[in-house]
Amino acid sequence: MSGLMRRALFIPAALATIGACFHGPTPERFQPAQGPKGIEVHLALSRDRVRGELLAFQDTALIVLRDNQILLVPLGSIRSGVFKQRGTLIENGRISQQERTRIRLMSRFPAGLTPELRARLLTAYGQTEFQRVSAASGLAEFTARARAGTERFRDAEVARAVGYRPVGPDFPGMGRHWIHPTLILRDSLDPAQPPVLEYADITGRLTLVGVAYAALVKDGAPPTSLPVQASDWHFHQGTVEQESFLRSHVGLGHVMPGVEGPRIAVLHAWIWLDNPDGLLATDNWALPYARLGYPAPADVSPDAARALALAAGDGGRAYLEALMRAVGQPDAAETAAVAAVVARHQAGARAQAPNATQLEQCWAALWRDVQAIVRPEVWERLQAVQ
Amino acid sequence: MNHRVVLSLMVLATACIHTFRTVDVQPVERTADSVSVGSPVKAHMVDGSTVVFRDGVIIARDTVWGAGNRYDLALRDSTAIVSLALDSVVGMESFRTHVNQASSIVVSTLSTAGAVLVVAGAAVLIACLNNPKCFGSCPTYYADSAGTHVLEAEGFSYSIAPLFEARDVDRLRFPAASDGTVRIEVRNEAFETHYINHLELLEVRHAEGEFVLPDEQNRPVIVRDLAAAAAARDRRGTDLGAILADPDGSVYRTDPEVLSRARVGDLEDAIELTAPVAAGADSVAVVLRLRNSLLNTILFYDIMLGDPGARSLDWVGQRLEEVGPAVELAQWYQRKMGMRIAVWDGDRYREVAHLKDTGPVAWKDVALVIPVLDRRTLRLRLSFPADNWRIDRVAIASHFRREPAMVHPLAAVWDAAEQRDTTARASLLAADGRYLETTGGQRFTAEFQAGTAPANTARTFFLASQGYYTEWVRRGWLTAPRASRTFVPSDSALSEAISRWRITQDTLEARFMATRIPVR
Repeated sequence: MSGLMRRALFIPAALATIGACFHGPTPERFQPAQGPKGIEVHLALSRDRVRGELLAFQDTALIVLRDNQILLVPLGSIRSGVFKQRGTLIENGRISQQERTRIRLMSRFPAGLTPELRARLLTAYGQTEFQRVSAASGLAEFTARARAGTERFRDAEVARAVGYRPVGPDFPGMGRHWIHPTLILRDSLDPAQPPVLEYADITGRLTLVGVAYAALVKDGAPPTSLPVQASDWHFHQGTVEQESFLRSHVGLGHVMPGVEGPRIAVLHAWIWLDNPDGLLATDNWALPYARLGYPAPADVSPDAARALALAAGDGGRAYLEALMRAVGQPDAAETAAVAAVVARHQAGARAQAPNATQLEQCWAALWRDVQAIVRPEVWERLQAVQ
Repeated sequence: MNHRVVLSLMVLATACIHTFRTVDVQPVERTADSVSVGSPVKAHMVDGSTVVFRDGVIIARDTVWGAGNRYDLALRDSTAIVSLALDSVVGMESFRTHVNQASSIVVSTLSTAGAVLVVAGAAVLIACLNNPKCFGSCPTYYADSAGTHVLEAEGFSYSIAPLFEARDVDRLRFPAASDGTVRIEVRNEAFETHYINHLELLEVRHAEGEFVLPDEQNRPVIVRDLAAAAAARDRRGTDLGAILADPDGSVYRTDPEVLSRARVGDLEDAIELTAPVAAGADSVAVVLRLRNSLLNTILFYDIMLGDPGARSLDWVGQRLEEVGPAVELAQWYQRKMGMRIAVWDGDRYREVAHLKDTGPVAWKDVALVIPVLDRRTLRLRLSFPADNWRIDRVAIASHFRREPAMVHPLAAVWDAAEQRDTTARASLLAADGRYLETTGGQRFTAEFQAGTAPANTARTFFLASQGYYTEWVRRGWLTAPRASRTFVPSDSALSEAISRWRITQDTLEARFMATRIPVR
């Protein structure tokens, strides 16, 4: 056999070998080749996720059909784009020209959308414009899903029946955390299934005021799966009691310096009681107003709200006394004296409610009175939470 | 020292009059093998007394050092001490010092716990002092059946720290009395302290011929027309049809060959079942009767608590009080343990439910509602760590429905002397910050008034219980720790537990039930 002939036989044989080792979808198993639909996409945005059918790939945006709604997703807003059976092709808004051309051919309308086709498509889906996906719409959808998922828990007994249970104290600006032990252990976050519900006694009725999401983190970076900013999350690291009284929710840092190890990232969402400081703020200082049936001012003062929380009921007084005990570590005589001061100012706060200026004065007077009756070292410790 | 001598000493100790002297504080000699425990700890003594060290202890060689208060059997008198001989200790536990006193009052009206333990549990105490592989893991619930107490259930197994407080719902087999009274005896038969937060009776009324079972989230499911699976095979392909068809005491356990081959990367056993699906059915209820093996007990007691010895006191008392480490451990436990139920969707198995571990003492009946993903036939896979379960029955109910349960609050608590205890009832009435605390050998009776039901109505009762417990770190673990660090959740730890379980299972199973502390 001549060398030329051997080479001629070797090349097909090698190609056949390569062909036998090929991995990946065949046309029979490749979804876009088996029907009219475009390729399925999973797009991770900075504050949202989009999963649906790729209708068209425009120069600066993807047109995606999700739940019978046509979305326009700006290419620049996509952190990562995964195409079914093709893999991750968009990273940080960038895709190679070669892949762009290939993926465009796998969309439902590879030739693009003419104005007429665009109008007919919008009509077919009952829209007048493409729904532009942005951070704001992601948050709106998140809120809608959270509300839909927790509507039934406005009856606390329903929440109790499915496994939520109260943990920790009734925080003046948060209410009480009800935790679902199974949901809090899940690896993933679902807006419709928050692991924490926030209840507060409002005008005599246990009322759902918000929800919270929690995730175990080890490197300090909060989860990215919900459409919120990283700064919307805060961390818990200590014991429930430390977090309740010593660090969290009283203006101190949530992460103990020098302490390594896993921590819990927490995101509050005040979906059932408007929060003047924002939907995702950690504390909701409208809550003390709601507890007493007052409308919250737009520029709510935390000190006035804390005084109002004290006025609202024995829960507010018990929390403040426990906070002072835990942080200040007063002796028995000081504890009794502090309790008397708190009780006196509770009555004062009730008399001043809801006048914000007078409530602020009441709060300041309470701390002055406490300073006057405790030892300097106790006062020094208490200043951290004043 | 033989058992009689120990018993005599214990009796003498409980009978003698204590003379308290002033104590002198001596510097503690720190040696390489000493362990410092920063958590507040409580030492349970062989003579029934209790020593509380609020600022922790140092355990050096055969002595426990620390500023402690020793309480007598009746918890009436106390004296300050600075050291204890380790061989006078049954076990030690970390306990909480509550910051928020207002909402965390621990109630313990069932006093003289130490005396109960010493007198009633002497034989068990002796057996368990140096070989700590003894009965434990939860409160046990007994029904009164014509004067005989019959085990009904066990509560919140493996809830070994406050943050793991759990709610369990267990089906009761015995009916209410003719006037609707249901009495359940709650026992602590282990070297543990139980913190019981809440007890309530649930009732579901239904038709004759229907069965009511809790699902994996404690919600009642009413099932009927139970049928065995058409086929059931384990990992080796062994036909399990006969073993799993009926609740007859013939139970599945992992094949020894599979157990012996379990190692990191392949720690699981699985059962695959198929069953016909009724036309149009989009879901079915899978009914299981099962209990845990003692693999879990080995994991919790030997590996988690026993190996690190005294270091476990800080691990439970401090580390597991922190939300991050507690959730990390719980997530690992949930991923690895229990049972995962997956359904074939025509292409692959998809996990649809997870059943947490139920405990090794009592059989548990559960019904898991799962979707039918392949309309032609139902293919199920139950997967779990090798030999984690004893499975008596797997059945499929194509007809099921849900009904909310009626709630009967706790009507009364009776102590061991049949005296009504209103304080104990108050602490158990709601899932709040109040707990009833019991130690080994204690019991009480929970009474519920369910009233009468209309004629031709069947009733099924469930006991709902919520709480947690702390395991005593036994003397044997304190004196001979095997690990120099506290537990780290990992596949290696589970592999080690499986390995130890495989070697000791025969003797441990017999020993476990024989070392229940008698109650009085």
